[in-house]
Amino acid sequence: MGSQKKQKEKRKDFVKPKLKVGKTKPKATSYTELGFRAKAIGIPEQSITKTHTSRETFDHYLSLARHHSHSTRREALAYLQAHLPEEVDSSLFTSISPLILDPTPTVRAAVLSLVRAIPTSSLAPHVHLISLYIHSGMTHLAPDIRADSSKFLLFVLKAEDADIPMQLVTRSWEKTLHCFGSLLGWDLASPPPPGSSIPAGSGNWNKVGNATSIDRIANAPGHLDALSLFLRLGLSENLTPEMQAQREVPVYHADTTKHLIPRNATTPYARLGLFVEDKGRRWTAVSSTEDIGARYQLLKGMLPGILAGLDSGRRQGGEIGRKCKYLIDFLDKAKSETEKLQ
Amino acid sequence: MPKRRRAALLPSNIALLQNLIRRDPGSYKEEFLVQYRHYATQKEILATNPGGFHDTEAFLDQIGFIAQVCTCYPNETKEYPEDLADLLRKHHTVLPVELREKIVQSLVLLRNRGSITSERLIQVIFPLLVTTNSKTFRKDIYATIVRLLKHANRNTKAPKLNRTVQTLLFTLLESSDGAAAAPDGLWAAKLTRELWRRSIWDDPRTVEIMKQAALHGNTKVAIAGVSFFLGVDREREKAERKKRGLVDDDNSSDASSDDDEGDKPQVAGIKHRIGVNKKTGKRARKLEAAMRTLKKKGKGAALPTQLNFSAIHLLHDPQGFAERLFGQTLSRGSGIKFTLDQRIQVLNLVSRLIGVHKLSVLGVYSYLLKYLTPKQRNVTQFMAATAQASHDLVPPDVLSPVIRKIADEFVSDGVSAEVAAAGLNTIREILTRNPLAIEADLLQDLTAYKGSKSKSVMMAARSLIGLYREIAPEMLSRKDRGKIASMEMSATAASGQAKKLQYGVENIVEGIPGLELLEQWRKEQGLDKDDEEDAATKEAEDDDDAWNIDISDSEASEGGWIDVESDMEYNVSDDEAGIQGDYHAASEDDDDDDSDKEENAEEKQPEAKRAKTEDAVQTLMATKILTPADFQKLEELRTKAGLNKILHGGKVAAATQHEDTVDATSLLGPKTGKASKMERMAAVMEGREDRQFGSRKSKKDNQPHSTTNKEKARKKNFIMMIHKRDVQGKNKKSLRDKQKVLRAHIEKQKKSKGKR
Repeated sequence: MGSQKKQKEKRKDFVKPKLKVGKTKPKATSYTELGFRAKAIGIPEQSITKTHTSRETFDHYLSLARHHSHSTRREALAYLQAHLPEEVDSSLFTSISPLILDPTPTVRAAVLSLVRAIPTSSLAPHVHLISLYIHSGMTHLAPDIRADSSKFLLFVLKAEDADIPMQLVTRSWEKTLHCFGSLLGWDLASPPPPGSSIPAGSGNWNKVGNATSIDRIANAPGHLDALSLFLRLGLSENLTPEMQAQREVPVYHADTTKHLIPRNATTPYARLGLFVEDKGRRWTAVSSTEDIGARYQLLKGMLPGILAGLDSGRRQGGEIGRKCKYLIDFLDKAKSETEKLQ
Repeated sequence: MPKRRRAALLPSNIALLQNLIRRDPGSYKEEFLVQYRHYATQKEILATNPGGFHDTEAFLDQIGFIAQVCTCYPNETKEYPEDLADLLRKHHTVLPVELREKIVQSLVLLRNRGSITSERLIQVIFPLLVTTNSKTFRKDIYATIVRLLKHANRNTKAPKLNRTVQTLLFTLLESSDGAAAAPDGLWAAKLTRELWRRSIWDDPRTVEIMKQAALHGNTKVAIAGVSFFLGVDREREKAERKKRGLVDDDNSSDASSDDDEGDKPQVAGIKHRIGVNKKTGKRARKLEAAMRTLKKKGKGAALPTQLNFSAIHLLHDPQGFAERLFGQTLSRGSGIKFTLDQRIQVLNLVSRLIGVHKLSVLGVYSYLLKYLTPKQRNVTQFMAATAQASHDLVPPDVLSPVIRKIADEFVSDGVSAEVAAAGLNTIREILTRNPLAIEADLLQDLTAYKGSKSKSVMMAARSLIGLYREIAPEMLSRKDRGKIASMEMSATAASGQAKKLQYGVENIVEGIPGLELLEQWRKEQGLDKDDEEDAATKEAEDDDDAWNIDISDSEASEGGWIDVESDMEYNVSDDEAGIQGDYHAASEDDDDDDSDKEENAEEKQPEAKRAKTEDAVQTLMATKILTPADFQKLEELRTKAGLNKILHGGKVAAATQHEDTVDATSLLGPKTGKASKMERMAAVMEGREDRQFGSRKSKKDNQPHSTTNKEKARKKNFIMMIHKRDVQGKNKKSLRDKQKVLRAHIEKQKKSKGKR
């Protein structure tokens, strides 16, 4: 059994090593070096009692907000909502605001409830970021994201702190209107041909067979609510008590208030566009829309398109018809008022 | 109807929307505008935090989509290309990789669609080539630029675009001339080289760019420029040849596929059918037609050769360039440090420039003196540079110290044969270009090495002798001159026409050698009279006879292409008039034929007669156009007179002509003795290139694969197999079967051994 080679190898195993005088004894094959020298000994943390700080866990869940699984995302958002700290910093907003465009409806709902839970004082500085994502949602390709976008918009517009909706109104008036145009399928850019009450094509709610428009009609009430609130905020001078107080600053001149820094504003000079890179482009977030007059001027160009859309909506009747009717009346009133002012 | 149905589709994803828009841009304008607005909002979000932008994929789709369809809505998307360019310019360092690539792709797409010009595209992406720190991105952009230029220059040159890019390259080189920003300049050099290699650019402006690169303050850039001039022409030729090969392949494969592919087998098939079937007129005509088309195709395939000037020839102000190159890089005190190899490269270029343009940069020769010692590393390169740098307009007193130095250092008794051969060969190369650079004494010393035991030294010395037999036999010692050269010498001495080499005097072709023989022959035949008498009319009739050589009556049996020989005569006539001596011929062909003596006799005739014949030759040249037949006769006569002996050798003709470049390895002379093991292996390896050895099985086994059934069977547990019939049956086999198996095994063993 076994080849010669194997036998030879076997024999080699049992050869007694020769010991020589003056030489160290050869080490056994099983010898293990036990002496060690270390300059420093690192002892890992091993405490079982150690708990993660709430901040660390919070950050962990923040990162989970970008998890690929939608259920994880939703749960992470729920956790965040439950453990909201007193002071919310920008990291929360940067990680949750992209979820406004999340493809899963439940996640979007979770985001909405989370945003609602955030105290308005810490929300104010981040309205711009959120509104960017809301605008993106209003023009999104997926219909359900588009539909939900007005919920977020409504939330921002209904915020308790009056500064929050006014930021949106003043900083991105024109852009929001354009987004509404695409949301409701109105052509705001080009004025309708004179003589025709209903502009051809886009303004028509009843465009036969266009799947986009069918979807539009279903979500129209929410959009119209947001639009009417937006227009009301933008076009009527509803003075909050704080603004009243501001007015009561000792007046040296009739226009003094115009030149004062708004006391409550978080970004009072945003309209100057000092830190915005591309100026003078269309749909920029910043255009000088600080006062009603300027806003109305901008609206004026789009008014025919809006009115045409509203008109065709009014003919639909029902809830949509009522809302459209209300908006038309409001716009008429606003028109007369602003023109009176000027 | 179909339109409406399409409109009923809800564009749920962007690819679908793109498809719909392509089919019907009008109906989907609204949807497009929504998407465009969406893109704008996304862009704003991106602008708030370009590095941390996380919804990249959607944005990518958006960008690609708009780029694809923006030709459908040119008014709405006017600003789109500039937007993208802005995005790239501002954020290219922080943008996600895919997004960056996509933007470049989209810009290229927009250019292809004509939304932006090529110039604009280049202006946008070119700065990124040097500013980006991503290797892959740089590679991408580089490829894009090259592709763009290639495309633009495909049919006709695009001067405007080329000029734009060249200006960009110029400014890049200029701005990067500080040592710090060096790699930028390297990109300019690389791009230019690539474009030159592909023959996309071949104008003097391109060469100017590389000239500037060669004079750049940074070593790397300078060497890139220098190596361009040294190697790029060969590169271009190679690329051209390759391309032509490919083009031919393309022609046969895809161009007008059906008839092209069908052609060759068709002809073969028709021929076969003619051979087999009954021969009919129709079939013959078919074959003829097929052959005709084939011939036509073949003609078309042969592309006209392009006239390409080498980069060195296109240089503007080569003298200034060579001087600056030498001054900046080689002479002492120049700021930049070069390694020896780099210095050799620069020196090679400088010497090439001097040789090609016959410049006078006298500092080079004294510079070279320092390096011309046998112990110098890469000394052959320096020697080659020395040879390249010499030409006939270099003053001999500048060159003679160089030759003296080489002779002292290389050609003496103490050195090895290899060194001596290299020295002699170098001296020969220099003297071919400038024969006056040596004194007779030194030359005779050097030629004394013809008796060396080493073959390479002996051959080198002989080649030196051969050279001087042609150009100045009087400088050789008497016995080195050879028969023909000395005869020629005595003849010219007698006639008082001895030509001495002089500095600055160029060789001028004065006539066709041996023409007087033809003249004499014509007189003897009485042809001259004929010509004079019946002037034009008869000549016209005879014309055909004169121009078409009757092969049967001439000695030349090769047939056809007799012009070639007449060409050769012209070559020879570049040298000293008349008679040349081939050292081989002279040393070996000692037995002479009678013609030599005749000629000898003729040469000694008095001057008066010579003058007369010269006049006659002049009149012949002035009055008559020599036909190929005449040239042939002349050839014949020359052979008869023994003048022509050397012409067919061709070696002498080659000896006095010289190339622009000198190959450093050729200076070592022919390799003698056995090749070393390393050389042999190198040769073997060279032969093995692109070939794969080994069995197919081993290749298969080396590939990663799962266990085969055979392997499984082999590894199967012994116990599991022992009771199987396959195994047990082996013992119970009949003797005959056992034998069979054994035989088969032996057979197999033998076969496998034979294979090995």
